[in-house]
Amino acid sequence: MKKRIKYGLFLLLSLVCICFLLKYLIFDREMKETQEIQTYKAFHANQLLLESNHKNLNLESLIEKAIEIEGEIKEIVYKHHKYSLLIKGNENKFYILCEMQADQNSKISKLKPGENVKLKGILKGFLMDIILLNCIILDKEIYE
Amino acid sequence: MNKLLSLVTFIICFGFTVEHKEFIERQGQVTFFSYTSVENIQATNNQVLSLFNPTTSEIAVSILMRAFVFKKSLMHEHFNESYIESDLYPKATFNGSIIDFDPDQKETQTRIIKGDFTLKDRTKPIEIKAKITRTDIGYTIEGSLDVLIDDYSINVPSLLSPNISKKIEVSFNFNYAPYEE
Repeated sequence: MKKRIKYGLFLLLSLVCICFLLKYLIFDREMKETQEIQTYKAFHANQLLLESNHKNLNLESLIEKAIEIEGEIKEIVYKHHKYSLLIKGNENKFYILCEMQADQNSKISKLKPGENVKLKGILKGFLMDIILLNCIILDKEIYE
Repeated sequence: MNKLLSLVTFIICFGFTVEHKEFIERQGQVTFFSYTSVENIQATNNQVLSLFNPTTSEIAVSILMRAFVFKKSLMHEHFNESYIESDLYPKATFNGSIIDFDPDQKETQTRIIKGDFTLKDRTKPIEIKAKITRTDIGYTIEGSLDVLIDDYSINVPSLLSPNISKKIEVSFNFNYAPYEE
């Protein structure tokens, strides 16, 4: 009889543990960091802006994918407690707007407008500019 | 010759004193909250585009739905795939104008913005109470509104309905700068 109770308690505890583990794995999963996501495609900023503007590139197929871009910094913005880099192409009308991941703040302080930078971020779509979130800086040579 | 000289002088003077007609906010902030006894959900979008013309009081807003940032990835997934269907309806828009707006008033003005809000291809007329302040370079507009999910055909599965409020609280904050075309 005692053995049965012990077995029952063990089973109940195991079930509770599994439930908590499932809740953690499925429901409480935090957003992935960009470092953990594989790059889908790499572009030069000008190429991305030009091709998307002329509809040569189907941007929809890249949405929610990690892409790399290389280009000149037009502006560094600190707004809503977050840094963003505005990357320019040859045209000065539309830009690539990269909202930076929070762990990149120390690297951003070493950047200046006019410098070239290589970034990786998650493409979210476009309004006036092409929008990337959770961007990280890839150009390690500057910082090492 | 004198006429030509006056015309040139007028153009030069006018060119230097002319005010910007349009103002732009490339990175406006929109936050929404859903409060229920089961779960509180909050998401923020810092990449909202808005154009504002103080002369005509017209305001246009475009929100990229996928740019809302959630704390948990499952919330982000449900929001984009089930509720908003961001693949089909990637943007929400607002077009309207501020009632009785005075572009020259330096003190903060509390005004009603009337316009049409479109989400998931459903357009509804809305009125928003907002505070408008003149800054050194432009204007700031901030306010909040309630959005009823039934108005925009947002379908929540019955299993998850206790987690999502029927009334979503939306707040916004835009800082406009002159739009250089």
